[in-house]
Amino acid sequence: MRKHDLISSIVWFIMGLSILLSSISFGLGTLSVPGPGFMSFLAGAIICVFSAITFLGALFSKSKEAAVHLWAKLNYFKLVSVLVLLFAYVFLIDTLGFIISTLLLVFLLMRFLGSLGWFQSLLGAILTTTCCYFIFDLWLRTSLPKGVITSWIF
Amino acid sequence: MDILNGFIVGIQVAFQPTNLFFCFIGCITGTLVGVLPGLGPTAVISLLLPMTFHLNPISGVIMLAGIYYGAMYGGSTTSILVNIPGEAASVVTCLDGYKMALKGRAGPALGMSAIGSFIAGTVGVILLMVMSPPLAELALKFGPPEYFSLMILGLTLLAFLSSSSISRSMTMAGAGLFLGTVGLDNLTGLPRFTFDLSTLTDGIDLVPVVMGLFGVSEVLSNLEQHIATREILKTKIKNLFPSKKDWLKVKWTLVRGTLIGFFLGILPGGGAIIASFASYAVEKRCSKEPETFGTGAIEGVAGPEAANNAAASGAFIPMLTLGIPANAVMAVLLGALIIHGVQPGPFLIKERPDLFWGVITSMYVGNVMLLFLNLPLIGLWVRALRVPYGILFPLILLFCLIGSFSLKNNIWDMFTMIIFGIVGYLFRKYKYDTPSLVLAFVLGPMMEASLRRSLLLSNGNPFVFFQRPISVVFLVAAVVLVLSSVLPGLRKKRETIVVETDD
Repeated sequence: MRKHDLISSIVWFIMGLSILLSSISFGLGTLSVPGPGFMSFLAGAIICVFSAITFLGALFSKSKEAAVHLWAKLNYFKLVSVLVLLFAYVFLIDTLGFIISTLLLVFLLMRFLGSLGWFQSLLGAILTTTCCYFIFDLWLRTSLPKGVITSWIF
Repeated sequence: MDILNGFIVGIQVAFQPTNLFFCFIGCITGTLVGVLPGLGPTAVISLLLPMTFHLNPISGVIMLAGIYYGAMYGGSTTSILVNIPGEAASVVTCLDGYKMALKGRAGPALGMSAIGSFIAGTVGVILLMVMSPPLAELALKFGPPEYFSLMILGLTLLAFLSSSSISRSMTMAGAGLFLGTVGLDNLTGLPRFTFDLSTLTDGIDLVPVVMGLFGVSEVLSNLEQHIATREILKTKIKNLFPSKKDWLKVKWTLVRGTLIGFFLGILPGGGAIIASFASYAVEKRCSKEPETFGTGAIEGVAGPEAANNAAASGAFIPMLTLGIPANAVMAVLLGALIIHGVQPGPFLIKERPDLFWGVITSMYVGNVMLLFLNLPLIGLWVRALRVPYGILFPLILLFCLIGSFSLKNNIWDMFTMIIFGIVGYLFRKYKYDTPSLVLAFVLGPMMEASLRRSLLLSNGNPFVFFQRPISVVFLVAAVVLVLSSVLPGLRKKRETIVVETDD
């Protein structure tokens, strides 16, 4: 974990420092009248101090544990494709509407990432979408996005 | 109002058909959440939070609470039969529960965990009832400076008890405090860290954050591995009711587990996970035959299961009486109450006795329901375990998406949710403790407000926190905690208490 601790603590330190510096521009105020930047300044300072402790701890750590490979042997394909699908869902839901985009999302996830069969995935997608539509839109009145395409049809 | 009157009010509320119904729904959902690995109560409660907007707040909270303590029941089933904890608080139950199942004693293991859970859950609720009113009375004396110091103590305690190192969980607490400041400043209206994005001016919402950190990140961590099919132990489940010999063995185990669980549950960051570990350690030390632990000792199942259920009751105390959540689940429940226009805190018992006593009484009812759901219907949950992950994870992702959308009908909340999913996944990889972040995120704005109010009251005297006795006690306790974690001798002790856990 040592190498990873060094990396993660450096990232934290840089983030803490940038929070700290931007808080100053919001105005720190005084101890008697804290300004809008006071709390985030405090947060930035906490992040900086404790990430520095993690960094030093890892730097001087004498433990001889075997190197941990966090990023080896991972199923990158699945990881990246799930994220791509999720982002695509958010960007397309306004155009395609809830029903079409959910059918696509659930089908693709089940078929290609969940390794279910074509028929199972299709059935799963249809059932899930129908249930969600009934529960959230009709029963709970969440007004899920109708989508441009649906509004052309109706 | 004394406790008996309160209980009567509670019975009237809890036994209304609607509330019974939602209590039942909560218990079923909770058991299911507990049984299914890879889906924790925090994510599910935030998932169902938007659904409760259409209910009255009492039914809503009764249901959400049911999910929380219900999950504590269900988690052990998976631990015993599959050797995978269905829920983080049941990690230790794997050690002896699974071994018991291998020896053909799956029945008594399941029975003991359900009955132990029931006893501890019920006693926990009684303690909750007895202890809340005097605590709320005491909390009435708290002004903004006391609240501020108490929250400082809470955050320190959380870092102290968290599974990762103190420096890491303090870093996460800092990050949580920072996230809490995003948006318009309440006092001056100045936009902070909004990057000119209109979605950020109102601040970041709790629900997408929690769903991303606990729901999506869990799915990502599961998907990165090449999933192996889960093997459910093929055994006949018989003799659910433990033998007389078993009972004699666990008599004191249950008592100790309940007490340890309840008091650790009250502490911020303590909660069910640590309670179960602590109880296991204590039982091993108290046992006449410690060598049987890890080979299928029934005490190793009864203790932790009692502890995590009692902890689930204890955790309600700080939230209901002080308005300060003790763990991530309570933070979401607090959020739910506030959205419903109910402000938890010392005034809750007086202002909304129906809600306060109704919710607590429903927990008795819920525990009875759970006993029946988990003993005679155990076969049903075993079948739920057979649902392949390929079906489960698309549903989890979809619910997270819809849940964060439906909060405000805002598409960008889904975007925030996915981002926090990625962030949470990285946290898991690099072993940073997510609950600290969530708690600091909820407490941050409260701390900022109480800090400003304290200074306003004291005419800008920053030493006000050191001039009021209760506040001084909290601050001194916080300093002692921090120091003790730095001093080498005590540090060792802490490390033996805190066992490495995954959330």
